[in-house]
Amino acid sequence: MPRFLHTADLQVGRKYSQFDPDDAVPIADERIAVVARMASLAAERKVDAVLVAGDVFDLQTVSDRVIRRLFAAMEGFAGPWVLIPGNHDAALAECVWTRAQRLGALPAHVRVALRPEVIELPSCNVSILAAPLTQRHTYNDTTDFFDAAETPDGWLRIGLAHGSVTGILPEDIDSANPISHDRVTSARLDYLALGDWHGFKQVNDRCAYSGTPEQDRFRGNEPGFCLIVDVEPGQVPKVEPVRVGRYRWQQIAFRVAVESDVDVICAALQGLDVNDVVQVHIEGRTDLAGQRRLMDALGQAHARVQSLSHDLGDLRLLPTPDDIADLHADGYLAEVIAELRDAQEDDVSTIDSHVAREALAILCTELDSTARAGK
Amino acid sequence: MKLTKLRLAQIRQFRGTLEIPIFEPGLNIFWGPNEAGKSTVVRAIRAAYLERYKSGVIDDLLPRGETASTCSPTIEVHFSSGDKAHVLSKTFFHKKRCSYSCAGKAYEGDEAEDAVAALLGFGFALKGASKAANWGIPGLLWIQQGDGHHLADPVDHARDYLRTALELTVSAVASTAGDDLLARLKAERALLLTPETGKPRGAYLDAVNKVAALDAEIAALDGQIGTYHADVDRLATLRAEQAQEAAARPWVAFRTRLEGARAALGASQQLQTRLKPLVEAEKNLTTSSRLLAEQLQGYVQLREAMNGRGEALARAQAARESAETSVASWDAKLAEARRAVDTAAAVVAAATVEDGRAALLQQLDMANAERDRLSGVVEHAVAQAEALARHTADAAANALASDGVQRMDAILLALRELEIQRRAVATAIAFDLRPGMQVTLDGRAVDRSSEHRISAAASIEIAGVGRIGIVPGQSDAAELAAQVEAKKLELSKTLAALGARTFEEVRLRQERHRIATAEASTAKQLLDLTAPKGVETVRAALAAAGSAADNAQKQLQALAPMPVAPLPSLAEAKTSLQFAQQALQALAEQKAAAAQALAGARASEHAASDECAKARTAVGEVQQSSREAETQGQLVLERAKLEETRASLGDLRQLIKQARPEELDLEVKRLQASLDALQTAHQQRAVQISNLEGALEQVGANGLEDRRADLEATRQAQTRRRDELKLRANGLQLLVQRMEDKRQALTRRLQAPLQARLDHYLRLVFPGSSISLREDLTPGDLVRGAGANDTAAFGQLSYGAQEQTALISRLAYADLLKEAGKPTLIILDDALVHSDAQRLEHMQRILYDAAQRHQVLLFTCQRERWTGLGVAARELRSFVTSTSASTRATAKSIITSDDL
Repeated sequence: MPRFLHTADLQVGRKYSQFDPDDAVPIADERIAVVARMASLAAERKVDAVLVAGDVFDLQTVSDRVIRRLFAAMEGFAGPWVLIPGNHDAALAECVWTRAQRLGALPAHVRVALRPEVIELPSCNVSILAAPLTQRHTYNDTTDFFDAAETPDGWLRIGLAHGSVTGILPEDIDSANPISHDRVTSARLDYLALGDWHGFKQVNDRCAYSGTPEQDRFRGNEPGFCLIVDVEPGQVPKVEPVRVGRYRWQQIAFRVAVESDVDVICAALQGLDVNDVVQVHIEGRTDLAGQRRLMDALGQAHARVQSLSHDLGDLRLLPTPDDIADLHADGYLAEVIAELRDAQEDDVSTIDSHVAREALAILCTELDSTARAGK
Repeated sequence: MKLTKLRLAQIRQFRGTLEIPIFEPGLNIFWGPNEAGKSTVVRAIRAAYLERYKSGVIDDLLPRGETASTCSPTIEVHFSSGDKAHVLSKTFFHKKRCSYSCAGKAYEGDEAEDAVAALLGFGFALKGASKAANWGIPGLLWIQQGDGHHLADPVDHARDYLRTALELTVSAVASTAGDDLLARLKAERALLLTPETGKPRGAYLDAVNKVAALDAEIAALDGQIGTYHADVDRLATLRAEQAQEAAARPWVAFRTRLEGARAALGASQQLQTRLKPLVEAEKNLTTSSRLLAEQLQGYVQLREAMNGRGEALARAQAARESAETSVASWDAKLAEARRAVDTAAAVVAAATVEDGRAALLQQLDMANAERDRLSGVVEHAVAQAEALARHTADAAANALASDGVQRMDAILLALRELEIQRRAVATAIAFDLRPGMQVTLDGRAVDRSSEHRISAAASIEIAGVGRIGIVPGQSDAAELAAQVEAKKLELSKTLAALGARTFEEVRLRQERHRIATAEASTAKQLLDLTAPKGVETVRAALAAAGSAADNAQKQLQALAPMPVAPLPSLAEAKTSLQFAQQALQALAEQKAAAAQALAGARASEHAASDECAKARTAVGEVQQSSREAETQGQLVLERAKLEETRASLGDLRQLIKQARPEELDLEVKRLQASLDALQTAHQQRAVQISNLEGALEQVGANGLEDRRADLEATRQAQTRRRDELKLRANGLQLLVQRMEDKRQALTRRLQAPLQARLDHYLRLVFPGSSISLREDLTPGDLVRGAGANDTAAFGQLSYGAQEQTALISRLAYADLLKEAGKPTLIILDDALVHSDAQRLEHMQRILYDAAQRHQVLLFTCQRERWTGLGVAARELRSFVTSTSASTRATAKSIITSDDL
């Protein structure tokens, strides 16, 4: 019974400009590491072939080193790898693939379909109907030719394509490369391996998006999987998602309404580990002590996780009279603090609430350090 | 605070004791001349409060010659404060001690000093003499001599006390940490924003610039990426075109058509080769026919030329004749003109003669007149010369020897004197006779009534009577008579010498000589007038005039006789001659021109004659030979051949035209070019493809998008940083601004009471002016008048105004301190010496005003300046209570003091 590892959207070479460079480099490197993990998995599960359904590279002009590293990572599985270009790495006249060929970086067991073709895998009597993207944006269905493609009798017909199945996915997801929702039937396919959608999604019994094996954005729908697919003629294929991704990208929004909310947030931050890539947004209102605890918790979490950024711009700082007393903010300083505290309310003052908050934070920090030095 | 009693001993010149037993609660004026000890008293009060009693360095307190080991300067001050009586006593050096008691509490030593310092508001130096920095409120209110205009430092040293006082009077709380914090925040802000304009700087500016630079870099990179993508697309297009063309092979069809066109063109070119000899022949025949015709035409022209030459000769002859006529006419006119010149010349000659005659006649008249005049002169001169000679002779005839005349005169004088003497001694006889009586004296009858003197015996005879002899009584008469006789003799001799008989004669001759001499002189003068150079000179001139007249007469006679008809003047005649000559000259020129024209005409005629002859010869030659007829025959032959050749040529051309060789040629060119273009385009595209491939490989290897992603990461990081810094900068800006606003408002509120006091005093001295307090509590600019256009900083004021303003401020501080319950005492040592009378008056008014609230001690050496304070000045020396006689020096000093 033929078995495949179906993956897609490796997006190798992607940079993460939203992170500090220190955080971004390991996250980028992980996109190649996951390929090595999938190679191991393929070897372990003794698959007949690895199918990569497009967007192997994130950019056409990735560096030579990245190209070499990617193919090196495929060495862990010596069986055939069948790759098609997607919209990010379309098979243009001059593209990442032509460069890889010139570099001689493509190993013998890796086959790239740079034009629509049928790739035959005689070892398992499988014909791969490969529909690469040869333009940056394609508005016609590249899998049209599947219907008329000839394959040896009795061989499995496996489709490999990159695009959006019409009427299934939300309109805004890379919808420029349409794929007929009826293709499996019209082309008599035993399985259609798709790429482009970054989360795992089974379109129908014989058609699935594997999603990207390593998450690359906060907005994700079940990313971090590859699929082990067993296909038997006349049978519904068995599709098994296997988690291979490392980083968990999370956007966490908190609201501080009462003092105990701070405890909740601290506990949540406590639960993060080295595989987390986190964006924390905290709004609401707190006193100086709450702010201090939150900052401490964020600092500690930052030290643990791969990447953490936080936005406290909407967290109002409301020093209590005790706070102010502790800060030795007497006289006009107390008045300034009160004014800034009130100015954080958007519609109360002409002052930008974020500026007011910053000013208050600076003042409290200064006073706090003075007060501590005094003690 | 008010002093109630002061006692001091062994301080400077007060070797004994000085005690001021009573102080007024308000103003106290102490006066004394220089050196009287005013400053010593002030120094003592200051020392009592401000100096540590243990201090070993304040030896200026010691009387001169005294040492710290033997002397103990002592000051005792009684004062009241807060309704309580206080006593402070300090002894320095030898028996150093300090005690202070107040309301039953007594302090000793350091404790006493600290208690007083806390009460008054000052401090002590860590060691040594007290320093201005520690003086606090006393430093501000106790004005030392010459320090009245210094305010900034004393205020600085007292500021903390003043602030405390201000805060006590106002129920507002200043921030304890505010000022330090504000300074720190400003420093923080200055790291990010420029202080003046609030523009980004430092790390903030750096981030802004970096983002901008990255934006530009990314934009540039985007451009390159766009180009790269376009190139990739173009490569695909080119490859597709190339492949399509390679398959279609469009150049094959073109090649076939080109070959067909070339064959057709070859056939038409065959016809062209036949055309050339025919064209050549036609050209030659045309040329030879033209040459023959030209030759014939040449003969015709020769004849025409001959005729033309004949006409030209005739014209030349006519011209020559006309010129000859003209010359003859000019010759006649010229002869006439010459005659006119001769006539005019003759007239000039005649006129010249008449001119000479008139001159000679004039000369003759003049010579005759001169001769007549000179002959008259000679006549006069001769007569005058004769007269002169006559008078000169007369004078010589009557000339006398001058010594003889003198002697005669002397003798006559002596005789006259002798006669007088004789008459004096003579006897007088007076006769008065009756008529008819004859009387003689010495024989001579006497007149009836006469008197006679006789000096010698005389006799009178009276007729009828007899004779009467008379002898004069005196003996001298005879003597005198003898002398007379002697003189008379001498006279006779002298006269004889002179050649005269009597002296009357001499006198007569003298007169005649004188007259003759005068006459001679007159005659000489007349002669000199008539003939100054002598008669002979006149005679010579006369002779010359005569010969001139004769000469003129002779010339006149030699001249031709005068013409009958009148002549023009010589000038007129000359002018006429000049005109005639000019006319002649003009005519001569005209004639010369005519002669030249004639010569030209003759030459032309000659040349025309030659030409005419030559032409006739040439024509004659042609006519004699048969050349013209031969040429005519040749021409007819050639023309027939030409016609034939042209017909053949026309036929051939028609053939060629039908073959359309130009179109064929164009077609071949077009097809060839199209073929070339196709092949070139194909090759070029191949090159383009190759180039593009190379370029894209190159660019692809550069990792444009990779680099862009890197840059984007950097940009986002920098943008985050910039935004953070911006937020921080804005926060700091807001914070600093808020704090400054608050602080300023607070300061204003705090300073309000002090400002009120300041305004109070200012009104009294500088009406209509205002001074606003600065934050450091020193007075700011003095603004005079409402317009605020006369503004002066404290430092710009005059010395006097500075001192006045400073005092006003000090009084205001004092009021403030008083209000806050702090003790105040104002000491002025020789203050306001630079104020004029009017200002001083004002200042006395405010001092009086201040003294209602504060005790004021005023020390002066000019008590007359301070009469307006309503208090009598007390003389300082009156408070000396004892003088110590511990040393000789002291004793002496005190005696001197008593004497004063």
